[in-house]
Amino acid sequence: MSWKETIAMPYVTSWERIARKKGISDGRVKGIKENKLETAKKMLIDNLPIDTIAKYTGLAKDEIRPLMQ
Amino acid sequence: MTFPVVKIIDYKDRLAELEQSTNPMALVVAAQLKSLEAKKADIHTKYDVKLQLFKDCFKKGYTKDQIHILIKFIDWIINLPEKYQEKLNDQLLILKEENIMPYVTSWERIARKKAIKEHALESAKKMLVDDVSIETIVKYTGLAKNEIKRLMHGAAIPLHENR
Repeated sequence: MSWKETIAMPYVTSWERIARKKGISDGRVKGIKENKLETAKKMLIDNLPIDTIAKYTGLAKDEIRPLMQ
Repeated sequence: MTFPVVKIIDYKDRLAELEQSTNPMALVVAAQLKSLEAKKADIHTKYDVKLQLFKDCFKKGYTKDQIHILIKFIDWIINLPEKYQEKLNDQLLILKEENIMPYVTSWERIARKKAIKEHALESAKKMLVDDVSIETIVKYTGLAKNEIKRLMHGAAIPLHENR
């Protein structure tokens, strides 16, 4: 292992790997949520029944109700 | 082989200038100067100087390799008793964690985009099962017609998009 590798490796593993893992899982959760809400809003404009919206978006009814105002 | 010679002391009155610079060598010189002054000071001041220098390493957008080398260098020129060094190590860990954020957000952006698409496809599938029209699915999911047709046919059947 070269000098540079010895020095840089702990950084790559502890820093970048954590960042990657955290970023991917956070991003996934946010993206899914965002898409659910986005779709639900468009369906609400068309007055789709709340059950249908829940079915297609995967949101709970309680999560859809606040969007109705 | 010849090297240009620089007298660190000459930069003593130009500390502000050094602090503005984005050149990593400016930080090295500033660290040297500060360490010279800290030598005369008490432990607490030395500790503060060292911590501040560590913080400066993260500010200028250096690469992680540069940051690592700068930290090693600063660690080497300012010596602290073990008790203080341990405290400093904890601080350094916090600093590293705080500065992970830009990396996290770049990964996050990619994963978010991918998840939005994935979930849109997921919703589209459910609507297709219920025989919702393609136009309606396009409207609600924001997906392209092609993408929805691809879902209908399954991946096995090639799609002739131009027909």
